[in-house]
Amino acid sequence: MSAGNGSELHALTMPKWGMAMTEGKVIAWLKETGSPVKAGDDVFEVETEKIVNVVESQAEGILLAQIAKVDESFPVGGLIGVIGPAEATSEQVQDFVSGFQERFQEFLQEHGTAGAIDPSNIEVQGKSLRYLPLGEGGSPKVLIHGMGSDLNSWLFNHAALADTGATFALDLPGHGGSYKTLETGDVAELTAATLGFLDSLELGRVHLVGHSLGGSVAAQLASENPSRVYSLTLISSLGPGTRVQPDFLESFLKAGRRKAMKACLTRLVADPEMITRDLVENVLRVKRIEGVEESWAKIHQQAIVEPAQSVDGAPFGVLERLVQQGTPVQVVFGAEDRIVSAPLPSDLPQGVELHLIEHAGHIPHMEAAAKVNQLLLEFMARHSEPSGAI
Amino acid sequence: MSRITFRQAIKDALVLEMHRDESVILIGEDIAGGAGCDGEDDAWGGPLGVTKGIFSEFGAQRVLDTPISEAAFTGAAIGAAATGMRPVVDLMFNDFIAVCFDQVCNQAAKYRYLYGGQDSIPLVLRANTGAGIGTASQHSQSLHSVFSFFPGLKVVVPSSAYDAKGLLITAIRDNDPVVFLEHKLLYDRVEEVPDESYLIPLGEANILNEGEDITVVALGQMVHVAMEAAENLKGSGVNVEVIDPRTTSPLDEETIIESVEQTGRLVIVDETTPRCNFACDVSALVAQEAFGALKAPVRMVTAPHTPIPFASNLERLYIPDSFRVETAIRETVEYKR
Repeated sequence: MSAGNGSELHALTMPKWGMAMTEGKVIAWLKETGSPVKAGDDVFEVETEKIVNVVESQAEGILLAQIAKVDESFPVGGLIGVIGPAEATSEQVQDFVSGFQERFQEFLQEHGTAGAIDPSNIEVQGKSLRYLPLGEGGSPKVLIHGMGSDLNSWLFNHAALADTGATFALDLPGHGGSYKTLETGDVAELTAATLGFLDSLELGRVHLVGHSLGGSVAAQLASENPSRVYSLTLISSLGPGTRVQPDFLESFLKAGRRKAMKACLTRLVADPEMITRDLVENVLRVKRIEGVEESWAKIHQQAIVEPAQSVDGAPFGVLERLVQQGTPVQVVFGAEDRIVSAPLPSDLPQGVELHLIEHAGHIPHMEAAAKVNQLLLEFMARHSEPSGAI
Repeated sequence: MSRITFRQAIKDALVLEMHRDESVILIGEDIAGGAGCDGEDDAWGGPLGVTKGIFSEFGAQRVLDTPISEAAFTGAAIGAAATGMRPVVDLMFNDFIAVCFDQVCNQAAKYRYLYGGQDSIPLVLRANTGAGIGTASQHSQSLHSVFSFFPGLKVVVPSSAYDAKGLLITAIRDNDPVVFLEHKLLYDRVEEVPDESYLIPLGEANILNEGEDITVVALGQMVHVAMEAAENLKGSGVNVEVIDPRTTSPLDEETIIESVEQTGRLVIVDETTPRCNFACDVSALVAQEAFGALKAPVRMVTAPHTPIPFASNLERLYIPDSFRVETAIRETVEYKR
């Protein structure tokens, strides 16, 4: 374990979860002042208009100060607490806090509170794709969600990734605010749409992150267009050595009522408390939209069931090709994934990194957001253009 | 997604369905405004402005203005439905059911049954409901319990813009007569609503707030009264489960019973007079199906057994408010045998 980074103090701030969030309320502290904190530890709990979730520390050290009181609301980016080395003096903490507050007040005066951000739509070959851009500069990152989800599934990751540069979360065809009139619904169609999206936004080369089905799409895109991809991260995706629970998506597609949907979504996570009333309602609200169920049924059959039956089909045969091409690939799984089981390291081609996240199921980017964000940022930093731009 | 009013959500549902299916037509008073006489076309959009603009878009063939005769135009709409149209009737105030009771409750409700299921009446009867804007005793009643009495009628009581749009689209596509009751105080509520068509099934309750101490069942405008009470009680550590059945017929009995089995306590909030109403119905359901789970008597918060007063101070007293709901919840939670 590292001894911490000298006199460095870290701000714990109000996160931005999703486009609509402008402020959040601290509803509980999960660490006492003075207790040690590791990166990835749950430190405090936040309630927004839509969700309740824990905030994990990105830094390591001692929780030196709890700035926020329980039930106090803060704008996105506001100072909630301070983490640093045990030897930091109270004067140093005080200076850090007043310095932060001064800069934050200036920031608020200049920019206002972080407003609700609206996603955009772009025409790709005459069909509309919805996406949410955050951040500027750097090597662009593109996030591709899984089956039956949408760009909101990156709400705990998007802002953190955007701190280091432009990050785009995309709605795949048949999902979210993108077009619902699918041709075939197979991986090729989803991949073509994603490539069309990169072209339309003139994103020459990107870091691709795909979750589950989104991983199949990202892998296919990278294998066909190696020059467009700096790095590829596959989260909980089908691939060599994985086994999918076929009945999960069947029951997900069938679930029309809250109770059935809740039971279904609970299988996605290690901690069932993650599946709140609002989360279930949000999934049902999407599913009720006309055309969505038909699109999902098509994609399920064409992009998941059929490829899973063919050993050479995407995404099983693709990893070898990616490694031969020299595309950096990392594979991330929740150790308790009950939908797609994690592969063994020996199942993966040499050179592919495998990371297992403890206490997370099929959606580790939501359940253990800080850890996944850290893996993503480190991996991308290693494989970006050596331009010095961050 | 757009932030729109309850009023706009209902209009959007009508317009989407009129585009989708040309057999969907509107019939009612004032929905074409002054069309055919000296007045301005499309002047009103019904008494509360819900359908304004639809006449201009779809014309007199699809938006039919009628004389002031609920018996005649409701009967005509039922006849049109029997021949294959999908009429949406604007009855204005649900109190006017009194003059077209035979058409709706004797004819439309029983038609499919009488003809052995060979034919049905795909009709939606829209009407505003409820007190709170000073429309007095003949224009302010909440009559969902009356309609729920009749097998063959489906009864929808939306509480939000999101629900209103999805439930109305489902109601229009339903092959049976559906009574769709819009509370007057909801029309200006603004909410995020998808721009696309979506369907909410009839007979599926919504759980607005999860809580383990007590179940509160409420409909329409009373959902917001219940939610206010639930919010106020959070501070004192009482966690309220708020259930909005969305439809009284069919009724999602399962969701209510399951909730009471968890909480052991039930308060029903109903803006109707207290006899033979929806609150009694739910109360009886729970007494029969979940008696063993109950830790306290079921409480009903309703209006008194009087006509609705016109005087605004009396009208305020008449309508169940969050203070009365809070009191009922507290007393139920603190109840000791």
